[in-house]
Amino acid sequence: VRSILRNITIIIIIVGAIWNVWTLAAEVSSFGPRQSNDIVVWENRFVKLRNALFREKHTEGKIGYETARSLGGKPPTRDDDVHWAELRFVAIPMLLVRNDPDTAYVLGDFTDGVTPQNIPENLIKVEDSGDGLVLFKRKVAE
Amino acid sequence: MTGPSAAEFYPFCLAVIVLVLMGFFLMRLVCPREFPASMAWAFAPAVGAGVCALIDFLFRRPMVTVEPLVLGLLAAIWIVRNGIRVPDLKTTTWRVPAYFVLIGVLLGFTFSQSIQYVTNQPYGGWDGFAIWNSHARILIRDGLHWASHILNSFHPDYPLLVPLLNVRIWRYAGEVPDLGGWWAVLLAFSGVGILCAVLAELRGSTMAALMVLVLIGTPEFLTSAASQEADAPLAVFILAALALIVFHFERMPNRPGVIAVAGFMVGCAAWTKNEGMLFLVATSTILMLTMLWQPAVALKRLGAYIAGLIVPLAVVIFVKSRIGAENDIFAGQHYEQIMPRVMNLDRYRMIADYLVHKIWTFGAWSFAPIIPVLALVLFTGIHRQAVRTPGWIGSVAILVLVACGYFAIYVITPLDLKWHIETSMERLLLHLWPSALMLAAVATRTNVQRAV
Repeated sequence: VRSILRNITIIIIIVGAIWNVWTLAAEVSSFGPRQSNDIVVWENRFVKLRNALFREKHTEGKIGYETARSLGGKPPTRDDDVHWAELRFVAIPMLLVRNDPDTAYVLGDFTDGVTPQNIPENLIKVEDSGDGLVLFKRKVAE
Repeated sequence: MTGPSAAEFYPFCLAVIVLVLMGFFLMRLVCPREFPASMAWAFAPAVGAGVCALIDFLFRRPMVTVEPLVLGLLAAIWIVRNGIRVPDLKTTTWRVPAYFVLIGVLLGFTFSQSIQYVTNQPYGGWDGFAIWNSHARILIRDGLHWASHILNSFHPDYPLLVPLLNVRIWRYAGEVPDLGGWWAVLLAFSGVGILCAVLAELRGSTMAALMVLVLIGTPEFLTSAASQEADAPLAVFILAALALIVFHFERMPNRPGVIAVAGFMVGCAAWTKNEGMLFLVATSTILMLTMLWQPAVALKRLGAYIAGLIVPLAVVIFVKSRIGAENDIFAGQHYEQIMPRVMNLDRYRMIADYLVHKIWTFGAWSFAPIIPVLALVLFTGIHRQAVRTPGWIGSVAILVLVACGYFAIYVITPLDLKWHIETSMERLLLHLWPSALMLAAVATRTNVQRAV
């Protein structure tokens, strides 16, 4: 009896394992294509801006981070927080900071489609990714 | 942006081969001659990972200097000791049981699914990019300023073994995100190899095959690896350490070389995640307790354990003191804040309730295999001698101590308890899962013992 029970258990383990492997396959197939991955999208958007920063000889140190909302003095949304965390990774070794008025360069994240009405005059556009990410240089007051 | 090209793939393979060979030679040189070669190969990726992370940390760009030198030296010593022997293929049996074909198919399928996961999510999951790959990027892109710049990342206090291994791969093959993911998948599958090798050696190929099926049938283990989080590597190092401890006490109790490698694996666990420090404390405590039985042998064993542990532990202490980052759970915690939490029974109830629920779901299974595994142990029969060895009892005690430690952290955490549990308990259980499978299988009798 024990031997039969053991064999039944073995069959259950094997069938269960196959079922679980199928679950893994279902999860993997549920992902969108690589090009729709958030970080891949940010990396592609940031390429032109990173090259522009290199041309400006700004290869490390801080970069400001602004959205249409932050420029309007409104608090960040959850999406803004997620974008900021993801862009922090993309921008390494440069350090993306929020609420810092002293950074020489500022990254404008207008990817949510909200067109900013009130971009400060001291922010001069350096490069535009063409899909919502804009690099500004901060003009120092004389 | 596309995946790796051939020009990046071949250097990646070279990086993996160098790492595995280093691990293999080290296993053969430190462990006794009778230590099975299959096990040396199985442990080689984990041991090699620890060695390469150490070399990479100490020398920064050792790919054409220190690594070939160390590999050449290890190979030379091994050849001098053993000579070069060509295996006699004529006497090798190539017949394998039919169910091995099924396992081979499932292994191949799960491996390809894991690689597909990496292709779709090349930077990993949230923790994968926000913590581990961020740290790797800072290490490779920030030059000598990494220690100060890492303070600006999420969880700067986290240990650096996983990021360093990604950095090593990138230095070989270029900073292609997929390669870090591929390496993470390979390391997770090396854990499957360790489980298979140690069980095949101790309890026969059937038990090894079944436990391998259960582990590769744990989707969370594979997705955690493909997400480039540090939980799967930690689970592999914990498994490697406990497997060596069990093997030592059952097969080679008077040969401390195996315990030296176990000590190194414990050090690597501590260098992988902060939870590894808890594992280190638990393992060290239990090994010290074994001195109560046979003080003379145990002292030798403890010496070997410390010899293996000391270098990775020294690096962990050095990095933590150099970065000086605070831990989000322990920073600013005082007796007056902790005691009310310790006295609050509702917290204990909440943690226990979650534990009872999560134990069935942490593997992201469609079919939880816990009861079938317990039934298998029961119907196969308990190996009475094995479960009385200090290796098995000690390993179970280590897992229980670590689990109690995790429970205690939840009790005292200053973070919102519900949020903390919901975002971490599954990963904590995953750390212990491969080792629990190994210990469950080791507790059973072999076919021969059943026949007797």
